[in-house]
Amino acid sequence: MRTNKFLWALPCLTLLFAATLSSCSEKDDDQPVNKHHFLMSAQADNSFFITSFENFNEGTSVSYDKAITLPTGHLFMEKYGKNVYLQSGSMYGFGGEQTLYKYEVNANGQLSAQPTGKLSFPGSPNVVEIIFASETKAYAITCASRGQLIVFNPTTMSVTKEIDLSPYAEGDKDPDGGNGIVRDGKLFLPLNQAKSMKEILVTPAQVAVIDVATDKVEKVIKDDRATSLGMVGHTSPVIDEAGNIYFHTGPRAAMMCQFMPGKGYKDGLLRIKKGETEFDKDFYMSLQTTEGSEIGSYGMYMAYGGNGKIYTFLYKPSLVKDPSDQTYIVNKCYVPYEIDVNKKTGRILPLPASCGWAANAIIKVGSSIYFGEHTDNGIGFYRYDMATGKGFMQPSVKTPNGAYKVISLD
Amino acid sequence: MSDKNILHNFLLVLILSFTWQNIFAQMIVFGQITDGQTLQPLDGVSVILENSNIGTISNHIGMFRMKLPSKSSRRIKVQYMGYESRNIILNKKLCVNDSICCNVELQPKNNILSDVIVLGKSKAQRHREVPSAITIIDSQELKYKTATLNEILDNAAGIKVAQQGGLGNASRIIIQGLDGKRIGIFINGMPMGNSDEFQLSSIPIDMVDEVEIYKGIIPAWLGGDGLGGAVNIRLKDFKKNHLEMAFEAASYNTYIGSLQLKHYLGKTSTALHAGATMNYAKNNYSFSSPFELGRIIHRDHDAYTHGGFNVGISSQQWWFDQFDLTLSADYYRKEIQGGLMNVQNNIQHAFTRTRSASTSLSLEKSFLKGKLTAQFHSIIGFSLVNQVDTSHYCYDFIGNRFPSGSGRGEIGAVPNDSHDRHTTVRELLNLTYKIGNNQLVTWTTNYRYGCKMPKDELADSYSRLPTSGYPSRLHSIVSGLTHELKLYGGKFTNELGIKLFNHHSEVLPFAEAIMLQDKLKASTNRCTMAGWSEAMALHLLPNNALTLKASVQSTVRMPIAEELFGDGVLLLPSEKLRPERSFNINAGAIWLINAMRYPQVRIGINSFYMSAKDMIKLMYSSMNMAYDNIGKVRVMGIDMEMESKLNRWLDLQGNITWQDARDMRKEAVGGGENFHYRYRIPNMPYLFGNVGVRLHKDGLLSKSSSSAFASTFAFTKAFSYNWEASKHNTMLIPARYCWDVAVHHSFNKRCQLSFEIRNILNRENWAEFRYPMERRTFHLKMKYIINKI
Repeated sequence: MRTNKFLWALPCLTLLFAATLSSCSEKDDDQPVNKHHFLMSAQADNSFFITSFENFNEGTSVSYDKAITLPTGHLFMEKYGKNVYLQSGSMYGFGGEQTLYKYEVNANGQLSAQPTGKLSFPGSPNVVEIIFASETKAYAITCASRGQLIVFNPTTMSVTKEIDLSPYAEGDKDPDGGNGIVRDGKLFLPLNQAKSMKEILVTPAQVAVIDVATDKVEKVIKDDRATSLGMVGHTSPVIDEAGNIYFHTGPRAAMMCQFMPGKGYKDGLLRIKKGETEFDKDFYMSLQTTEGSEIGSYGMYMAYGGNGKIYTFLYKPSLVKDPSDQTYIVNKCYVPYEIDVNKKTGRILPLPASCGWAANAIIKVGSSIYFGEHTDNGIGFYRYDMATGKGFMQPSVKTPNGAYKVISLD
Repeated sequence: MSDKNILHNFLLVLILSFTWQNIFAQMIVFGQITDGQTLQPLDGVSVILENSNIGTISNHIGMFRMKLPSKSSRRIKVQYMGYESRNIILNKKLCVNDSICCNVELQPKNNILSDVIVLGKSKAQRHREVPSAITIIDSQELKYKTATLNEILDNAAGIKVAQQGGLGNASRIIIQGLDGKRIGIFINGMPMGNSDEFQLSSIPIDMVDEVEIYKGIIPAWLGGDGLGGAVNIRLKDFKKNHLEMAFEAASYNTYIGSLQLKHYLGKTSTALHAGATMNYAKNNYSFSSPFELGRIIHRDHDAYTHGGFNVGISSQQWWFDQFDLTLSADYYRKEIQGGLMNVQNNIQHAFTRTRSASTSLSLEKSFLKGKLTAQFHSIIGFSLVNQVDTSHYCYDFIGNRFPSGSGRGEIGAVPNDSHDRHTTVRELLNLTYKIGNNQLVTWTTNYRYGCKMPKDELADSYSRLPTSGYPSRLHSIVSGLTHELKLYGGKFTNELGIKLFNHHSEVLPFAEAIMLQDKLKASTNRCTMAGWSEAMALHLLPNNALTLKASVQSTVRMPIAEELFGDGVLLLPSEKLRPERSFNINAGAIWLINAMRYPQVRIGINSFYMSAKDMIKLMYSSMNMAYDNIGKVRVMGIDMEMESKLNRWLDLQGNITWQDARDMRKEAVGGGENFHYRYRIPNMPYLFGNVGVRLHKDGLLSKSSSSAFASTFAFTKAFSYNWEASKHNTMLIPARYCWDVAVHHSFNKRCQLSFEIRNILNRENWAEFRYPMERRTFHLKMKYIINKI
């Protein structure tokens, strides 16, 4: 009889055990930290980790302990005003999501624990880049959509209107807006005219000039010295001290030059001078003919260092040791590179080469340029001293994995 | 009567008495025990000599053998759970060479729902006591279910099935912290590929006799590869004329039908058999978009259609002991709802379609007076796979229609209209040699050939590259030798196995790499590896009620076609992949308490440790993905299950599994420290379980009827989709609670009716990250069986 009672009790004990296990939870022990001045992001497999850190002092280590996480996609990360805006956009529906998050940055350089604003773009149009014009106006660039440029208010996080760019499309109804910039009340928006995710049309480089006040497309300027400027994510325009804008063609045009030579694809940098809305006929330079570059070379994100110096990672196909490596991590074929737009020259900097997943994060801090790299020497930010021309072969700041983007929170 | 006659008669009686005693002193009784309806051999049947403590049990082919001492009774009792017991008087006239052949047919009891008095061990219980760590789902558990096989497996101990949606959507089987491709799927011992390749939901559960889930160890006799475990599905076989029809209607326009027919030609053992399946699900449920906040998405392009048909002939009359030839054809069509990432984009036209035909041949023959048994299975299949994404228009979720960004196609970079031809050949040879009564040697060799001939002129014209890939070929051979030894009257079982794995593939590298080559050059990949396994079981206590078991295995999983060849859309070929390797240890116990009376309780516990290296992992490329050998994983955990029959009308069952899979790679891919060293492997549930109760009663509504009410509650603790590096991680698969209730009624032997409500709490559950499942669903199923036609 006693055995029988035990056998009746056994299932009940099992249930109790299961309930106890299922109710276990972990405690969060947030501790106050020193002021953080920078924000970096990196991709690890299926997610981005976005975390702030104090500074670039030697020996600094970055942790993902309190990182914001977003699914792998096409990451937009920028500070405008007192807020940081984050979105992992969806490129051709691949990865990411359809929501832009706004985080407030407090006096301690910390991002708010939760987003202070969210904007899901109606209909899920695959927004991949944001260009800020003011506290109340920003432009959202869509990918593989209707050719619309979405105008929204970043303060209220609400959509205000759409600009129809489809009349400017070639081959289809979407001109494929690229990574643009606002200067003097004009939005300069590259039109990529992509045929597909892997192929662009052989058309002259194009930039739509849009009046920010009226949101009217004033004109589309074209230049047949280059093909497809400002590919989203992988390139960025820069403005020098004089207010001149520099656009670069980026990876897709370079690949076309490499794989489809003689088809009319051209890489290079073009300039729109201060006060003008046309390409500068006197400026063009290719990144496949400068020192250290080769056919197939291209630059990634560009950071302006001053005195006509632009810093980027340059892809060198000849450094690819294992062509079948699909991880974009094993091959260290992206070299820190300096472009001198005044002399129309370039040179490889004395820093180790990085892999494809860590060839985009560059920031100027004082007289130094820091490159987020994953090299054979370690993972982190490597310093180049512009004043002395000296590069360091060991990372100044260690990061858990190769940085994808870095911005200042000041 | 004269004294002489008296003396004569006395001597005669004396001689006969001695002779009789002599006969039984050395007599052996042997025979085969089979199911009286299906004529299938019954494993684990108790054979007990009356008024003695002498007994034995039948083996896996239903055979038993028992010595009868002198002066013993001549009555034996044959008993088996779920069957009518039989008392048999041994007839000395049948005694030949001191042996009596006694073949026994046991009749199944009328209904498994019946509140039977449990005696002895069931066939499933016998299977549980094998040395391998195993979970058995027997025909009794399957009989009245409305669920698919995926859903059945999801509730078993130590196993989890993550589905991306309703019927026909992709699913991932997880056993002991390893998932998908690491789990081998077998049907009647024939390797069918891994759990990602083979859709378990395409098999109607009414065709399934038993499901064996091998955890952490894949017996050498299964003849395939795999790391985490294997699921072997044993299909029903009918030894009498049989017609069975089942039809289920469920929420969201889901209809599942199956038909099985077997008809014997006259009184011969030659039979014609046919089967048909029809699955259709519109899957048109609504849910909150995980991507666009506040957006309710109605799935309107997620329909799944599967039609299958097979005919065949089987016989035991020809030279073979068993001969079966089956021809089958299948048609699958699956609309694509969400594009590359579930419902991120509003896809309205794209779909995939597969048309396949196959022939399968099974032969079995015994030699050397039954000591050597040879089995041969062969499947040759052809399939034509179409990925059709040709729409000139795309759609968003607010009703806009606009021209495709690529000119044509709704998904990805280029349109698709593929006509990929796949050829597969699977050959399995199984030789079993019996040495005495205690040893069994099995040699199993499995050969697989896969060939993909891709063709997508539309995609190629848009990308100027052969995006669909190039012709690729894969050969693999797995050969295993197992020695089974039983000692101490079957109290101790030892299984020692070795396996050889050989793999050979020819793959053309991905498109961009090819553009750098002057001449197309296939990349050849050859590899031969060896694995081994050792498993033992010790049966203790009366009636072998307690079984202790332990196993250790060094095993291999070879890269599959998809990993090597790519998919032509997103996945790039990875021609240099090496096989994955794993070292697994399992230890556990099964304790059957009160086998002969109520309350009966069965407790099973299994602990495991696995160390896997060269894990093939999906890596994100810029706009594509590709596989690479980079993973090193350690898994440990424990699963427990308990099943109790508390009285004649109340059963309880429950199980709980904890598994801890950790990344053990110290160095990051590409060099440097790996920041997620010792982190939990992403997208892997680590704590889950379920409990269930069943009340059943015979004769509630009519004399021959049976009724039952069942309720199950399943729980999966929240787990992370990514590396758990941040305390503020938001990429979680939330905790899943699911409460199901069901009523079953059997009017007689022929007609069964089931009604189920699943997810009665109407929760929006995710099994995979951002793949919301259906909420509450209703299922009504009717089954009709005719045994005499």
